[in-house]
Amino acid sequence: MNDEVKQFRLLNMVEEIEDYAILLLDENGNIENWNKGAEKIKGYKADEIVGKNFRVFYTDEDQKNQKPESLIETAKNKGKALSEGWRVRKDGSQFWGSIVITAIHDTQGNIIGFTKVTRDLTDKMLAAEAVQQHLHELQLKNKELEQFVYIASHDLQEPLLTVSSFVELLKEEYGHLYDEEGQLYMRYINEATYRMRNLIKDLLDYSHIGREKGIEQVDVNELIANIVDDLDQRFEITGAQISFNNLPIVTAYATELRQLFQNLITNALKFHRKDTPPVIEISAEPYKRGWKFYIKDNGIGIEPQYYEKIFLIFQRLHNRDDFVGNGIGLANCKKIAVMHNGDISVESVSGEGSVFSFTIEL
Amino acid sequence: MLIDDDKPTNLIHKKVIEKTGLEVEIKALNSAQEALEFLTCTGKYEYNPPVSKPGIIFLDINMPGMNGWEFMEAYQKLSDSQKARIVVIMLTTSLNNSDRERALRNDNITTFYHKPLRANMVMELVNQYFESGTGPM
Repeated sequence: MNDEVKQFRLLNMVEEIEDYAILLLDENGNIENWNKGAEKIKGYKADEIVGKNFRVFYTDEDQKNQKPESLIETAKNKGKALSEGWRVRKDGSQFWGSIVITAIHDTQGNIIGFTKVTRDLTDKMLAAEAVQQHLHELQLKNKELEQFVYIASHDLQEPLLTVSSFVELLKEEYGHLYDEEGQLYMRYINEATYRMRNLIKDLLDYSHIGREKGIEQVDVNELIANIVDDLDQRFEITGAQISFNNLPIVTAYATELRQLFQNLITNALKFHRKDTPPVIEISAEPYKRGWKFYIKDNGIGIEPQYYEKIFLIFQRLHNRDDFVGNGIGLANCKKIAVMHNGDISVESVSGEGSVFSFTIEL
Repeated sequence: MLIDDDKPTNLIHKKVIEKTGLEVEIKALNSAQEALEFLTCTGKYEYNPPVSKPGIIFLDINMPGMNGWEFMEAYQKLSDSQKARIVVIMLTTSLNNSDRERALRNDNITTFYHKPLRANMVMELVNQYFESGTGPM
């Protein structure tokens, strides 16, 4: 292919491109050619604009501030000028453009003109703005929610306290007048108020997770050893065994990570099979830019239809007579995993045991 | 039949029904699963099948494990003879409108009441759905 043909093809190519306005300007910024992209983005037809100065694409304010001129200066001095901002179309409407102005030279190095490549980024910019807006709204909503939970739990506590206090008094001062049935009634009242106070406390704790966040390097081996130490009575009573080694040092919210592990270990100790001492195994493997942890137990297991339900707040699978608790441990675990850009899930064989796995990617 | 995981709640409702003076047998169960076994004479009730079927079932929504909605899904699959002449009432603390609407849309659920069950609610049901006295509840 000879040079002339190549040049022709190049010019053709520039002319055909639709998504970029590719212009040639003389050394004063007057427009020398026009392509399809320019017409699409800026709205002018070639014969309406060729010969005019590229200044017309700028807003009144930009023109007043000599923006077009300063861009040309920068391109002269530095070789190119980059700019992003609002530009004006033929019909007066605006678009958000990304512009590159490059100086072109003759063989002696004198500036003979500029190329100007413009891209319409209006959609991208509006999308980014929308995201920011949503973020802001989300932050406001969160604050609102926190306040709500705080107030609700306090206002709920008071009448509750009144009920338990008076039941106490009834028992003390009039208890002797009650028959067995009456005593049962009072016991039910007490248990219910106690339960409610715990629920409120759990709700508060759940909403507090992640309030004070401190990122640290956490040695997970040490962390687990600490937890086991704290729970050593439970380990003794249940005859439980736990094994873990070569666990990594991770970047995490130390307090919350501890809570996550503690909840899972406590569950493994709690939901054990009758006459079968709990055996817990903890392992880890690298996962994307973070880690995946496995907590395996040999307990009662969980049926597949409940795999997701258990991570919802206040969801329980068993009656209070069988296992105590409000159903918040796993909801907390999930919240903490999400806080670490991860997630948590379970695989289980009912009657044999479960494996809880969670990822962290801070 | 009273289906509610909370024993005190079942006790309260049992007493309310007893105080209406109606001649009824009351069966209180603590899980939806057990209720299904009762109605199909399986599991716990396989070798000791119940003699009579309930005329009214009061069903709680929020129960651990299988909840009220999940019970209704299984209930729908029961044979016509297993379901015959049973009136199912959803009885719940839920103030959620969408729960109410969902219940009323369900063909197998007769109506939706808020806890606690009161004597007048029981009488209303009996008068509306049972002509001569009642059977077991």
